Amino acid sequence: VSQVTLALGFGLVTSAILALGAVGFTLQFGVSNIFNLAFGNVMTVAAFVAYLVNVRAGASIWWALGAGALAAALLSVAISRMIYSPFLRRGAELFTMVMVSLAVSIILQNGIQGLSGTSFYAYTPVHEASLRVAGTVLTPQQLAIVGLAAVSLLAFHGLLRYTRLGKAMRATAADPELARGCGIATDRVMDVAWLVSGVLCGMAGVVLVMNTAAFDFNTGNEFLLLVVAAAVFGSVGQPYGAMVGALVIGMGSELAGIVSPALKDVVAFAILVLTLIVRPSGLRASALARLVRATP
Amino acid sequence: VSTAYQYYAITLLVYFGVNVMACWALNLQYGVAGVLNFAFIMFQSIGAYTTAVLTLGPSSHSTFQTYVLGASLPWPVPLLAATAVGGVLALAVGAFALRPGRRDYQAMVMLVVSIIATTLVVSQKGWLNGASGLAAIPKPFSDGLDLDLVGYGWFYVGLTAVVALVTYALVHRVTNSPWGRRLRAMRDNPTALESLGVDIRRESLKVFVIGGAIAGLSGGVLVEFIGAWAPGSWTTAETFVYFVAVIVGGAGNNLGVTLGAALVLGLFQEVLRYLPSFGYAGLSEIVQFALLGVLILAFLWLRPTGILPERRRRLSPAPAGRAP
Repeated sequence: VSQVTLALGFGLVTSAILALGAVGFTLQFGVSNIFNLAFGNVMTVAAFVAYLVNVRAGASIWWALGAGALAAALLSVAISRMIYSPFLRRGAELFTMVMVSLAVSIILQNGIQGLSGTSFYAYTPVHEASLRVAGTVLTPQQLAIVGLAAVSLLAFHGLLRYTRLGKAMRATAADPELARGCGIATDRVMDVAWLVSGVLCGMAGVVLVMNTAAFDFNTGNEFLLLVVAAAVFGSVGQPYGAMVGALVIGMGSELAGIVSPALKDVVAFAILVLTLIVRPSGLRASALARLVRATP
Repeated sequence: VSTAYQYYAITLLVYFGVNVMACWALNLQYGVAGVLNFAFIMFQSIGAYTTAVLTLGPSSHSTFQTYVLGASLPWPVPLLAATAVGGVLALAVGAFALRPGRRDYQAMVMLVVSIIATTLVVSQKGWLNGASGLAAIPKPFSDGLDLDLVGYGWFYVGLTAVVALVTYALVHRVTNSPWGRRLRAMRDNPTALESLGVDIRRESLKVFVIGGAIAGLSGGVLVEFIGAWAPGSWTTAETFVYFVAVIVGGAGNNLGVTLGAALVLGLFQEVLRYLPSFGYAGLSEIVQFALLGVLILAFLWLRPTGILPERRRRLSPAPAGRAP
């Protein structure tokens, strides 16, 4: 097994985790028109809920994953309803909203740290033989993570593309005023969108920890950097762009990790900067408009 | 007054001078021009590092810390260098971070830049001594002046005051100049200003560079007093605290921002020292940060313009009898 194919294998796992996060993040931006800087902290909350279920209650990691996703979904809806929506309804300016979401992030971050301290936590280890797949070595758990991400994102694609709800979500993202005028209950659509993105966020948080073994109060927040880079690469607000961004950033950072582990984040950053210089609004700048027009 | 209390007052005053300079710079960017510099602490930090390496002398194998560009230049050269480097870094970062049209988009990119900068400095130990940071930075004039600790402290308070006053004069001039008016117009309605032929990105970049330079200067003044600087002291949370100070005091109003610096960065932080400690070590600091988050949410909801709001500016009154 060469180092490159090995890195590509790990890159696939990283991309899968990143795709879950980036699609969730970008969906929140799409429907609410804000950057939710507390996204990473909600991931951490999910990771801790999963820890309680997995280690304290002794359930399997998959139950823990479900619990983490549920917790993140509920927390996301609560944040959106109780904090973001009231500010948005008042017509808060964009930079007020950045401050609001940063404040929520700081509160969550310090809340988690206050409860958990600065120690590291880990899930119950599973002992499984590694598998050789397509020239690379992955654990069954890592394969499951990739599968889970693929299934979740396909389901998300189906929801967005082939259901009335998905159509309502796209309409709300494209023009909330017009959508409301057409009789779409945008408040409800926003709740559902935050619920769905919360599930993706929670899954990302738990599988991130499954893949990296140990975590602390800051784990999700550190990962947010990659999520932002992937979302910006694919144009923020564009779920399909976010998936492409996740693949590029995930593969790029793992390949750079061959040279030096410190380079992982730097590569994500370099891709972000290049995107901003070459195409400030990202890969799929006008894709949503096209998508809206193309579907009857 | 006992020496301990005097030294406490000295520390508070120097910190206030530094914080208020930083808040003025941030206010110029955010309060006046509407540029969301969420990497603010990075500019203060590079100023501190620049000043540190230019006063520490060459890094050799015998010293306990490794860094680049070691020199021991006389005061004010390191501070001037800190100012220049802060401005240059702002130019470099602004060149790409200010490219997206939306301010919140820019803010998020800068947040990422700030985090990456910390990661780089921590991982590259040869640059600025990694996570341990730089220490034992000499104080200016301490050899020439024959002063005890407290006497030197008061001297440094004076030095800080001079630098702060010069900064205030500059910031005040800029905010009240025609260009300041243009910046406020850009904050309130960038599209309208753009339609008048103003290059928004260029104006943003200018104010970004000026703010970055002042931030660098403030970092230099601080590091010469405290004598140490490490990545732990410039996380994004520190940027958040500066924003809280500016918003609570009154964004767009230099006096309001001064009050905000005194209340949020002075009073709010110090009050906790006098409360009985609780929980494990460090818990009170965590609670304090969470409370800052609650405080800013409350302010943004109840009084978004801050304690001393920006003065409403009017054009000269319309001639009598021609009122609409």
